Amino acid sequence: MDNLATVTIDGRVVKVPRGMNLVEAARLAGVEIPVFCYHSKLKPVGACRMCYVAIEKVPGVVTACTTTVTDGMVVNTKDPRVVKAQQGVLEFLLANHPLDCPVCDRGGECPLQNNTFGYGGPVSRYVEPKRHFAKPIPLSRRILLDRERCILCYRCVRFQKEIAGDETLTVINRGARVEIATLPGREFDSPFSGNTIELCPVGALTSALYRFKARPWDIRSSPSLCDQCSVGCNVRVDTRNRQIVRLLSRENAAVDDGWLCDRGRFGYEFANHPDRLTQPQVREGTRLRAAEWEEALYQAAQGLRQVVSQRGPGTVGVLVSPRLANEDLYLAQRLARAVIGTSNLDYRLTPHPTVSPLRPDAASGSIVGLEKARTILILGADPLNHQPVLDLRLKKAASLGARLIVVDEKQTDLAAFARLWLRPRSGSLDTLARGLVHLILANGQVNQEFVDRRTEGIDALRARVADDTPERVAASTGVPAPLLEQAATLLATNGPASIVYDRDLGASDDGAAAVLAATDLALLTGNIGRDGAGLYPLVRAANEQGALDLGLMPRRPSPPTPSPTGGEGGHAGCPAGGMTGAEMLDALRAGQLKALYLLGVDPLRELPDDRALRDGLTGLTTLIVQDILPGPAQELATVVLPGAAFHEREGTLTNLERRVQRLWPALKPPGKARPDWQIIHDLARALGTSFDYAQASDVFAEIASVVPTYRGLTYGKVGLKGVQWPLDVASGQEAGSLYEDPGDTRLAFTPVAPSTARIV
Amino acid sequence: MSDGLRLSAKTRAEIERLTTVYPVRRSALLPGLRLAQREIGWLPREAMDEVAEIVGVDPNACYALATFYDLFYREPVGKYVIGVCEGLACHLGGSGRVLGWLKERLGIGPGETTADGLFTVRTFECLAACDRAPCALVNDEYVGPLDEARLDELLRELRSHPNWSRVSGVGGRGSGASIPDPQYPTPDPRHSTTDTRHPAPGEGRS
Repeated sequence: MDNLATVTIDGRVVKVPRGMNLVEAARLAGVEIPVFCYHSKLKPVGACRMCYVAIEKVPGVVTACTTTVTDGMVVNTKDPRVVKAQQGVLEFLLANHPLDCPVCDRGGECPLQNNTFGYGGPVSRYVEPKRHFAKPIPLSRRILLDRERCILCYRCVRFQKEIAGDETLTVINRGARVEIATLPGREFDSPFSGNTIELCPVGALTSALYRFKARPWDIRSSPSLCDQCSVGCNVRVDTRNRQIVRLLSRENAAVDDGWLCDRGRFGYEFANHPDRLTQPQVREGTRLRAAEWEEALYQAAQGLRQVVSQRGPGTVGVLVSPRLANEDLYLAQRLARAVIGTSNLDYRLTPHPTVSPLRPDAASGSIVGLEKARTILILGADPLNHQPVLDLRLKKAASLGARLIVVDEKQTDLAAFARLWLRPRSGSLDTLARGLVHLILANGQVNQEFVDRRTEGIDALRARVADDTPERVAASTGVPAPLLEQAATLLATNGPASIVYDRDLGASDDGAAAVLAATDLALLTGNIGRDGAGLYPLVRAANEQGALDLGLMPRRPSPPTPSPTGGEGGHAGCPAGGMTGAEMLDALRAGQLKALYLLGVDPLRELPDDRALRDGLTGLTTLIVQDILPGPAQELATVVLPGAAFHEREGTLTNLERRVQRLWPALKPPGKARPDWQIIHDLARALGTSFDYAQASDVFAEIASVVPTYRGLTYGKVGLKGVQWPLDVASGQEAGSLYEDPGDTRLAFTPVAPSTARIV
Repeated sequence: MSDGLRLSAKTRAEIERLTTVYPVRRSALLPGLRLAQREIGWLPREAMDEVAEIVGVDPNACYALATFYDLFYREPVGKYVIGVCEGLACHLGGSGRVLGWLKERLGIGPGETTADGLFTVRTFECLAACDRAPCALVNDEYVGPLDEARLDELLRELRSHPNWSRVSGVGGRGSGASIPDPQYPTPDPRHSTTDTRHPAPGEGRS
């Protein structure tokens, strides 16, 4: 027999993988074994003793979580000895656990409550007074601890140690005096601390934001996405009285593995903010006054028309937030290009980075694919700050045996988990990356089969890095040559290897060359196009990938305009050229822009204070600001349009691994606010177009019809777990890694000297 | 060690050396804390943090370890900690009387320290020296069986004998019953140095 074991659990015969523990095996058999300390993502410790089972030929009862299956094992979870033992465990736990369920946040969704109901005895023999502690202890600004409720399952401490990889929470004292604690005066300051609230099987760890705000039974839940970064963690939005009361993880193993970072979990308060924009406003003299939609849209359209007719469409700019949904972004670019007739369109306010020459411009692999990697090079990326939950995935990969190579002058969070930490001097990242290319070439560690079959241009590459000898690289980067050798050897020989870098790295001179060298490294070692072997340029904003996919920038391929008869209508009428966001801001400072449409962007808030910029905005004939909260640019606006937050609308976001995921409306937008795609649609109609989208899915259907990478996608297909583009044409299923299929086109090594490779 | 809360360069160096002795750096935490307490007499927060820093672990880990073990003191104790055993044999042998005599002589009960900072009285569950019941542990030295006369002699000796060490220090009387001074092995070349999993700050450059 292969690697399966046949076990009988309460008379049900199941085949499960060998090495699986009995709690998981029982789950597969459809039998529930009650647990407190056990969690499928954490190593079993057998601390709570709740999961007792009886096994034939084994004396007494054993804990299921620490027992692995063997072939032919016969397990009974309802044996009288088990029932009695579990009643005893609960009686012990409740000897000290307070019966304050009616005022406890966990009441109604509490494993201790549920297990007591399901497995406890009718009465307790303990009549003694219970423990009393000062309550609650604030472990941090976010998390409170009620010690008397704690049943010491250690899930929280184990999560921090095993998953987050820190010891920001610990266990102090011994025996009956054990407590979950931090050093006195020290905050529980993990960026992932909120997960412990969800893991806690009782109400010992509670959220300061949620505490006493709601009961589980008067909450309405809706699936949604976190829009704080490009990972796109799946969340459950819990609302009550038209407010978000909390975000919980909605586990998507492919994306978040069931975890959220604190920024995502606790960062929803903006959505409940009392200052939310609820009403369109138009300028009347020196002040803004409330207006109805018709008037505001008319004013906005008139303002744009006036500028276009008097000064030309080249004086109109459109800046969009990369946090907006694909539907918003797609319509915004259509409005700009096809309706207004300008290519002054961007999702960035800062210059675009140099990016890998491979197309499409996206991560080649998947998040979960990183778990298959044996080596991961993390080049100038700090996921903890920009893509926190990806940080957990990289740590998981490391715990699964991947060797991490961190290349960063800073001591990033991942440096402590790395096999090698290379610290090139500031500004020498390019030299270091080229040095690795040189070493792989010089040591004959090239994947020749892959290079011959799939790539072109290796000779030019060989010539370009000829001078980047380890000695020279060591001298200019400060990284010792032996470390360089080790890193190159790991990358080339310990595959599959993945390369992860910050996509914005390419905005600096040395970073730009490093980004190009990263592609060369992947191609040289044949590490692209399969699980565990990928090139991951990490985008930062929630839908930055969508903005790239939909061409929300000038001088890049943009989606063709659909023809009225269906299908593609080509790029007719789409102006060439156009200014990037940074260029638009310069034009604004120089007084050359006359109209600006800001969608979820406020340059005055996002950039350092800048008098020329403020004057430029003041000097605009038309400034349309569409946002959900007030900002400084609105004070200068001619029209203010209130948009909807992520949990008040339909739409899709595309995460850093090309996964298109859906948003669902949990609440209506406040007041008269509308989803952004709808506002753009309405504005386009006010400008006299025949835009006709009844719902967000209509917009998405058009995206799927005109954007090649999104072909075949529908809301139905995206579903609750999302889909990675592109879909395989034949099967309609996810195609997986990019560059998987040899095809006809060869992957090119960096064709030109880095200095001229900058694209935008 | 100007404020008496920090470690001397010698102790720091010794802990530093200990981190290279074990396959896992963190194993130096326990002996490190012991050395710190030997020097300072107890474990102030500053010293714990210092040990954590040298070993390269989160200060929480140090705190967890220090609170787990009964012989680490997180508050100042007297020069001599007299720990009276309250195990079954000692209890029957009269440990209650011993505590009573100490209260009479020193004016302090378990958990208290004399005003002159010389004595702390505490209790132990069982010192595993039942043949000497009722017994006590004075710093690292077993004493017992105790009766009133021997206790008085002990106190007189402690007050007058300059060679009695501080907590966890070297036993002064050469009785042979003392817990030996920690002797740690020298580094095993098969371990350490090649482990780059936890590079210290600055490592990877040189």
